[in-house]
Amino acid sequence: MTELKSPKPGISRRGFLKATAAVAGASALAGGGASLTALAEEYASGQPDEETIYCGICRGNCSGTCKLNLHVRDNKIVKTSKRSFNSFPDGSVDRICLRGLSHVYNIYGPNRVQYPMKRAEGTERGAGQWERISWEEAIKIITDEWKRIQQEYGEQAIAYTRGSGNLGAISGVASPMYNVFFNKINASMIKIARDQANTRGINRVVGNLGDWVLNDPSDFKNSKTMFVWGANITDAQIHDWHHVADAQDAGTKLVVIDPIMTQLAARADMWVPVKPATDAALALSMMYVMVDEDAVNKPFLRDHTCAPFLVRSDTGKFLRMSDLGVEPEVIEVEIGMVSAASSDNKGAQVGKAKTTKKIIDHPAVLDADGTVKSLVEATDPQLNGAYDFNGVPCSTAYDLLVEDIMQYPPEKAQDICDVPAETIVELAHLALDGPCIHRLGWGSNSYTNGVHAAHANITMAALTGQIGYSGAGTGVGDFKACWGINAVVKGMTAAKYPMISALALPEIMRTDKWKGQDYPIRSLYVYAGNPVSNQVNTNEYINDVIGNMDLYVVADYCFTDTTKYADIILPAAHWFEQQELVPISATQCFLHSEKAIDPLYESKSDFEILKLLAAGMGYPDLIDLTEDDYMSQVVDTPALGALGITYEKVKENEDMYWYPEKPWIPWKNAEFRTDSGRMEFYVENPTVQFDVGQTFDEDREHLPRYFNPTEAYEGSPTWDKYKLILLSERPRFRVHSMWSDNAYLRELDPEPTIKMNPADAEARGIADGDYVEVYNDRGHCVAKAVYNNGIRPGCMVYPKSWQSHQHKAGCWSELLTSEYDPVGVNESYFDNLVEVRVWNEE
Amino acid sequence: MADKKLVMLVDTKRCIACNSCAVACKIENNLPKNIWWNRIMTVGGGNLDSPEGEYPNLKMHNVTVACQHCENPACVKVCPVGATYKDPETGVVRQDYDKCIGCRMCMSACPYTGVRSFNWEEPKYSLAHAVGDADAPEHQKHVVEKCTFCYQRISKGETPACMDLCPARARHWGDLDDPNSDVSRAIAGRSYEHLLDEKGTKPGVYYLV
Repeated sequence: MTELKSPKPGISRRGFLKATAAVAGASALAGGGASLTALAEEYASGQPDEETIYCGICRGNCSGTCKLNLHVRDNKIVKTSKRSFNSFPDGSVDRICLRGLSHVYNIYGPNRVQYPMKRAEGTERGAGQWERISWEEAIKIITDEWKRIQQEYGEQAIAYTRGSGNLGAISGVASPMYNVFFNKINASMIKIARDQANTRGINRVVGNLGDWVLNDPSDFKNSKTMFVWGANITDAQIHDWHHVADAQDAGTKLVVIDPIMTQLAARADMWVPVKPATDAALALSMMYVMVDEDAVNKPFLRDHTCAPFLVRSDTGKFLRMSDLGVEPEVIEVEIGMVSAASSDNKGAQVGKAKTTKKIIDHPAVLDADGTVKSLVEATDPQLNGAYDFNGVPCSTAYDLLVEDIMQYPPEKAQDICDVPAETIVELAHLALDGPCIHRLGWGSNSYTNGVHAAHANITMAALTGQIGYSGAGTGVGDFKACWGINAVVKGMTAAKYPMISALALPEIMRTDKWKGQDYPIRSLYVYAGNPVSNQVNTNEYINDVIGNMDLYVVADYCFTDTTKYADIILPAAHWFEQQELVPISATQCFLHSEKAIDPLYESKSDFEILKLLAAGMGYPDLIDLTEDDYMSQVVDTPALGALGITYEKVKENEDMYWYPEKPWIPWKNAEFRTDSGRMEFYVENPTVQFDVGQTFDEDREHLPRYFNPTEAYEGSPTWDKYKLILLSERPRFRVHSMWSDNAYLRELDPEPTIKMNPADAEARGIADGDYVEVYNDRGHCVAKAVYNNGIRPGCMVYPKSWQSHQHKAGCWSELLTSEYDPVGVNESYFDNLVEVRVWNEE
Repeated sequence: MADKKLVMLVDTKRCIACNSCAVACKIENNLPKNIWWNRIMTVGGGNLDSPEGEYPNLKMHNVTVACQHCENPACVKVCPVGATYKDPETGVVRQDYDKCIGCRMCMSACPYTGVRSFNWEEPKYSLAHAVGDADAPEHQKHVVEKCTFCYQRISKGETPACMDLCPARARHWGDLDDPNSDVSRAIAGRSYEHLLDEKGTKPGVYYLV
C-alpha cells in the first residue's frame, strides 16, 4: 500500500545543508559539530519535502522477489530500499541486495529503449542503425507483416518466446495474456529449454509438486547436515544465504560439493571439490557405502518406494497383477493443480476436465512367504528376490538398483570424481546420520548427464528415507511457483499448435520442418528475455534462427544483445512503471507490485503492447478487461479462496503465503505424486521433458546411471583440441543479463573477466590481468584473465551475461554447446571444452 | 568521552562480499561517480573473491572497509581547520565539508587507505537526478569525504544505510555502551579483530571472527 512519508519531519535538502553549515559554523568555536539534538530540532522547523513510498516487487530470475520500498520524489524514483514482509512479521524473509538497491539506474539510465524503432532501411541486422517510428507505425509494420507471413507460410509461421526477465502474472513470464493473444492468431510457442534436467531427474521419481521444490529455507536449521550440490547460493541466491548461515549457527554442518571454491564453499564445514559432471557417480558411490554397510532404511524402502516391485526382464516394466490375471480397476481421480512457473501454454487448460480416469493395476511383489502377491495384499513385501514369471525372470526394483550401485565402490568412484574414497565414505555416513537437506543447484544440471545426477540424488533419499519431514529433503528449491491459480482468463482459447523447445528451433529454421512435417517459421516475437545473450550457441542462434526470420521483434525496456538484432524494437515499461501480481517467488508468497511512476518516454507495459498487437491483428476487443480484472481472474479460484487468498487481499496485504502451513515441507508423510504414490526410483515408463521427435535409450533411463557428458570430460571427441572445461557463474552483479549496463554496479565490476587457476594460465603464458581469447569451434570471447586459486585446475569460470559490446570481441554464449540430452531437453551450459590464448588486438 | 559509543560489527563468518552494503551507501548518499565510502575486500588471494592457498587447500573471508570511526582518530589530530572532528554526542568521526580546505592531511594520516576520497573536480553522477536520502549532504569540489555513519539518518533515529539491511545478517550497529543494544548482544561470546590494531586508533568497527 502506498504511503506518504516526510523523510524527515520537514526540511528540504537545501534547507538541511544550510542548517548543517550554520550549526557547524556556530559550534566550530567550541570544537564540535551539528549535534543530533540540534539537527533534530532543525528538522522540526522546515517545510515537509514529501516523499511517496510505493510497494515494489523486484522480479528478476534470481527468484528472490524481494519487496522494495520505491521512494518517489518529484515524480522520480530516487531510491529502492528494503520493505518488510507482512507474511513473516519476524523479519526473517526481509531481504534486498545490490541489484535491488540499484534499480534507479536501470530505470533512468541511458540504455532505456525510449520509443519504437525499426532497423534503418538498407542496413544489416545487428548494424545498430535505427529509425524512430510511432507506436502506430510499429504495430502496423508488425501486424501487416504477420498477416502476410501467415498468408504465405501458414498460421504457425508466427512464433513467440520469452526469457525470465519478469516473474509477473500479467506482463511477465507467468502471464496468461500472451497465450490469450497468440493462441487467438494460432501462433507457435517456443519454450525456453533451461533448468529442466534437475526437474526431470527428480520429478520422475517423486512426481510433480512444481518444478523445483524443497523444504522452506527456514527449515534448513533443523537438519543435522546440509549438503549443497553445485549451488552458488552466495552469488546466485543471495537471499537464501542467511538461512544457511542461521542453520550453521544452530549447529547444522554445511557440506558443499562444488568444483569451485565459491564464497559458500569457503564457509562450509566441509568442502568437497568434485570433478565437474561426476555428481551422479559420487551419489551412487555414497549409496554403495550405505548398501555395503547394510545401513539403508529398509522399512522406508519397503513402505514408501518401489523397491519391492518386481520388474520384468523382458519389458523392463513392473510385473503387474494384470499379468497374473487380475482385472485392473478403473477409477475417476481429480486432476492436480498446476504450478504457475510452468511455461506450458496456458491455453492447454481450456475445456480441460476436472477429473481423469486412472487404471489401478497393482504391482506384484514377493511376500515374506515367498509367494507373489499384489502390493496391497502382501504383508511384508521383500526388497530382494527373484521370481520366474512364465519363463520371464523378474527381480525386485531394489535388486536392480543395487546392481547399478555396486558398480561404484568408493575406490572406483574416487578416480571418476577425484574425491578420495575415505571422503566418499564420510559423506555417506553424514548422509545417513539425518535429518539431512540436500539442496541441488544448477551445476550438475548443466551437463547432458544432468538428469541422472538429480535422479541419483533423489534416489539416495529413498535409501535413507530422509524426505518429507522437518530437516529432511532433497530438491532444488531456490525457486518456487504458486499453485492453484487459474490460467483460463477471459479470451483464452486452446493453442492450435504444440509448443516447440527452443533447442529444436535452429533445426526448424534450417529445414522448415518439425518432426518431419513442413513447419516454416518466419517471425519471432521476444519478450522478457535476451536469448542472444542467455541461450546457448549464439552464432547458431544469430545465423540460423534470426537469420532465417522475415521479422524479428523484441520488446524490452533496455537495449540488449537481442534488441541489437531486431527488425522492430518495442519500448517496454520497467517493472515499477506498472502494477503486477507476482506468483513465482522463493518466499512462497503471492506479491503485489504497485505502479510507482508512469512509463517513461513512450514505453508501455507488455499488457498494453499485447492489446495493440491484438487490435492490429483484427481483435480489438480480445483483451478488454483491466489489469486488475485479469489478476483477479488469475487468483480468485476456489482452491486459493479456501486458504483465504483473494486478489483483493493480496493487493491489500502486499504479500500472502500460498501454502496452508509454514514452513512448507514437500512430500510430507511420504505422500508422493507418482502412479503408486511411492518414490519410484526405478522409472517404469521414462518420458522426455519435451517432445522434439527424439528417440532415447529407455533402458538407461530406468535407473540413475553415471555416464560421461557430451563434451566436458577428458577424452571427449574434442579433447585433442581443447583441454579446459568452461564453467559459468551467475554473479551477484547481474541477474542473467539484467543489470549488465548498470553504471553503479559496473564501477564495482567493470569488465568481463575469466577466472583461471594460475597453473593453467602460466602453462599458456598468460599473466594475471592479460586480455585473453577463449575459443572453440563454435566461437570465441575476449575477457581479462584473473588468477584465482579457487578455480579447479583444468576448468575456467566466467561470470556470465556481459553484453557483446562490453567485450573486446565475441561473447561467452558463443562458446556454449547446443547439444542436448534427449530426455532432459535442456541447455547444458557447462558441457563445453575450450582453449585460451593471449589476445593482443585492440 | 562521547555520550554513546556507536560502533559497527561485521561478522566475517557471514559476510559473502555481496556488496549490498556498498551499493546501499552509494545510493543513499548519492555518491559521485567512482566514489565509494564502503568497499568489500577479500582476505585471501590477490584478486577479489580469490582464496589463499593452493587448490584445494584454500581459505578466504571478506572484510567491509569504510571509515573506522576510531576512538583515537589519526585524522582529527592533523586537520588544521577542525573540519574533521569527533562528534561528542555519538563518537562518529565527521567531516565538515564547508570547513574543509582540501589539504588532504587527513587522508595521509588515516592508516585505512581508501576510506576517504577527495573530489578533485566538480562531482559527476551517473544519473541526472539526485538519488538516495533527501537529507544526504551535497558533494562539493575540493573536499575530502567519507562514511558518516549516515549521520543524516542516525539523526532521525534510523540506522546507517548499509545496515538496512545486510542480506547475510552480518552487520550490527549501535551503542556498545548500551548492554541491550544489537551490537552488545551480537558481540557477546564472540572473538573480534580490528583493522590495523597496532596503529593505536581504537577503531569503532569490530570484525567478528
